[in-house]
Amino acid sequence: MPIVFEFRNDIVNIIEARGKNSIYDVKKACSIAIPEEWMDSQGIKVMDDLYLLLSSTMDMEKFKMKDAVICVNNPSVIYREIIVPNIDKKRMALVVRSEMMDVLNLTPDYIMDYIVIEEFDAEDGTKMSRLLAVASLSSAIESYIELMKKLKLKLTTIDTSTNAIIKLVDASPNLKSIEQLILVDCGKKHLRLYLFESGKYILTRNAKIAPMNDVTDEEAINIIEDNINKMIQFSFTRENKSGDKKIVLAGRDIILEELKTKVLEDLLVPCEVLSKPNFIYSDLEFETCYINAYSALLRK
Amino acid sequence: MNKNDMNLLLRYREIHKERSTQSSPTRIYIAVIAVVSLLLSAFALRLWLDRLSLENDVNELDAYVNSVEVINKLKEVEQLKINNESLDSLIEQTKGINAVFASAVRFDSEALHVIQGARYKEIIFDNISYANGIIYVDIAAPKASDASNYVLRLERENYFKDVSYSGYTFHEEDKLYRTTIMCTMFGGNLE
Repeated sequence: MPIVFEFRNDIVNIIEARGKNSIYDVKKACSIAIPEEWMDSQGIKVMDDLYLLLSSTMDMEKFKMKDAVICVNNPSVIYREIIVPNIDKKRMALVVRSEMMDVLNLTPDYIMDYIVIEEFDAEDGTKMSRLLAVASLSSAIESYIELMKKLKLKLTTIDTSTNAIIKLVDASPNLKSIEQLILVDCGKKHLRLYLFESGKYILTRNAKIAPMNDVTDEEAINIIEDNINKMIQFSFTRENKSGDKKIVLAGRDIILEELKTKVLEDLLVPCEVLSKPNFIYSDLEFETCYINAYSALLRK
Repeated sequence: MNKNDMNLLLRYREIHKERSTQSSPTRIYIAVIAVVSLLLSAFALRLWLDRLSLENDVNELDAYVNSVEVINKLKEVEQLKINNESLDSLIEQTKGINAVFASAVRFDSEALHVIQGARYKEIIFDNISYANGIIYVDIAAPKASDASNYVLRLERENYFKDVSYSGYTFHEEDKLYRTTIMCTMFGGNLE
């Protein structure tokens, strides 16, 4: 049973959970703010300080479990949607690697993985696959491995936030059934908006809330609302533009209710704060800021 | 079944496993080079040890050869060589002398025995003398032919190189003919 670390730009979210029959009992959860300079696209830059901060916090919070899962939710992971002919798994990994290197001009020292979002027939009848591929520098992966070694934890998985959200929607019938779902993950300075159609992942949009300086919560809400509006506009360009839409909010719980009200008033689109997923059982109060960490618990 | 989950840690481990597999021929080359280097090093070490050992032997031999005792002995040997050469020369000289001695005419009792053996009863010896390789035998005999007969007998002995006489004289007082026979001696071994 694992401890899940979600590494964001400026926060590390940690949860500890026990799992049984795909239901996870979350025992502990905490958030630790970190300077943004401690991590970048090459991974952890200030290893010793981050280790000391995490180990002291985990000692204080009495985290006990030894298995660890990491969910990366920062710029050290690059996402790309690619469409390739439908081939066997073994060859697909090579094709994805080659395609990613070609499209993004990546060097061989990137670690890549992918999931199949959907399969479809091309116009000429060829079976095709739409994939979400990710790439991360080896050095970034190595920095996470090193940190876990220092913390004396057995690292089993390095997942990504988008994949975690895709698994969350897939495991949540109430979300999966929505024709056009805009799931908003609000960070303090960064915003991620996910578009799903009937449970199928369509795209992610990243935006900065405070590009230069800190902003007030009110300013942040306005910026988030503006970005949600842009995503709604995009959803109207989709085939099922007339489908039912819903906005689900997660992230900084402190602003979510106010944001929900504003969206409901201004954008006239159904909006709600993410409710506790049905694979989570906990005596703790449910907080949406841990949603990536919760979803990284799911393994397929 | 479609792949619907991701784990960058697994991909990282797979790639590093592949890279370690890919690097195995390099490892083999390195191992071969290492083994060859090791063998060469061992061989070089062996040669170096042999050289050290030989140098020690050479130094010991040098010390022995250059020691005062050995130098003195060598000097003695040189002196003995010189002495030997002198002795050889002396031996050669001695041989020469012996040869000279051997070739020299020797007058001894054997010649007297021959002279005495050839004599018959009528022949009377007056005197026998020796000078310069010739034995002078003065005889007296009752007949004039006795002298020549005696000379013939001496010649037949083949002991002397030459036997001769120079006539005879008759002596009235004792009625005997007198003459001197000259027996020329052969030389020594060199003859």
